[in-house]
Amino acid sequence: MIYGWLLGLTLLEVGVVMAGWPRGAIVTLLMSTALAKALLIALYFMHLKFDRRAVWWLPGIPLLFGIIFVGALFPDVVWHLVQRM
Amino acid sequence: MDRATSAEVEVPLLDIPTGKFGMWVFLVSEIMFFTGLIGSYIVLRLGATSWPKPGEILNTPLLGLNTLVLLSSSLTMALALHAAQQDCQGALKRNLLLTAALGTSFLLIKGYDYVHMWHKGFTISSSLFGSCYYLLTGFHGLHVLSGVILLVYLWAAASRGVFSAAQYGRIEYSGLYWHFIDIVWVVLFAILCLV
Repeated sequence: MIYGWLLGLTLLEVGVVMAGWPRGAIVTLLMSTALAKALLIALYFMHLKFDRRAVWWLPGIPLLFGIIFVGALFPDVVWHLVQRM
Repeated sequence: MDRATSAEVEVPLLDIPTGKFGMWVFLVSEIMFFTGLIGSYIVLRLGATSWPKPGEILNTPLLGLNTLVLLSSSLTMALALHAAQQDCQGALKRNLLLTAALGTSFLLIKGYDYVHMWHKGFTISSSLFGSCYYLLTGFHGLHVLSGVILLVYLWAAASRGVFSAAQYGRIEYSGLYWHFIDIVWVVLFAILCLV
């Protein structure tokens, strides 16, 4: 059943891109479906759902650091975007 | 659900075998590695004055097919672990071989895609997008290749009757690695090939 969901979400992703949806809608949908697929694989195929919650910290901490490091660069990106306007 | 096999010790607080903990620690380093690459791509793309539409350069249906191939390999890997836990040697060997075959198919399709793109003039040095695309997918491809080699080793071990319902740790830990590279591709496919 999980595999069915993964297949369906992938076909949805390709479908909306090829159908030429508005860009904002595509970006939002693709980010959501990618996150959903990643979570399904992590929870059910990697068995995180059935492990102790403490195990979730193992992938969780580096992901958090990644978001922080990328986020730390965003003011610089926004500054350059504003400069170009 | 996860029990240390007869020869393994469980890590305190986490209640998982030391081998599984070791694989997770390795995956932590891999998460940092790919987060660095993907984060750099996001910052470069947001900061670029212009960026081509991936759909105009890349073969989206082919890459979608490749995604389905890799997702299917995750399923067969999960089935292989289930077979090991149930002591079904035939199903274990079959699913390990299928997973390796699907992983190889992924690499062959990727290779075809690379050659096709190269002939169209989309190379690692043709543009910033080209550099990002080949770097990200290339590193991912190397990880898939390592996974395929690991799966062939596991299949050979399974053929010798190494694994049983009481001894399947290596199958589980390798499965974690394989599902991780599947997750990486799911993210790459969305942010690199579709958006």
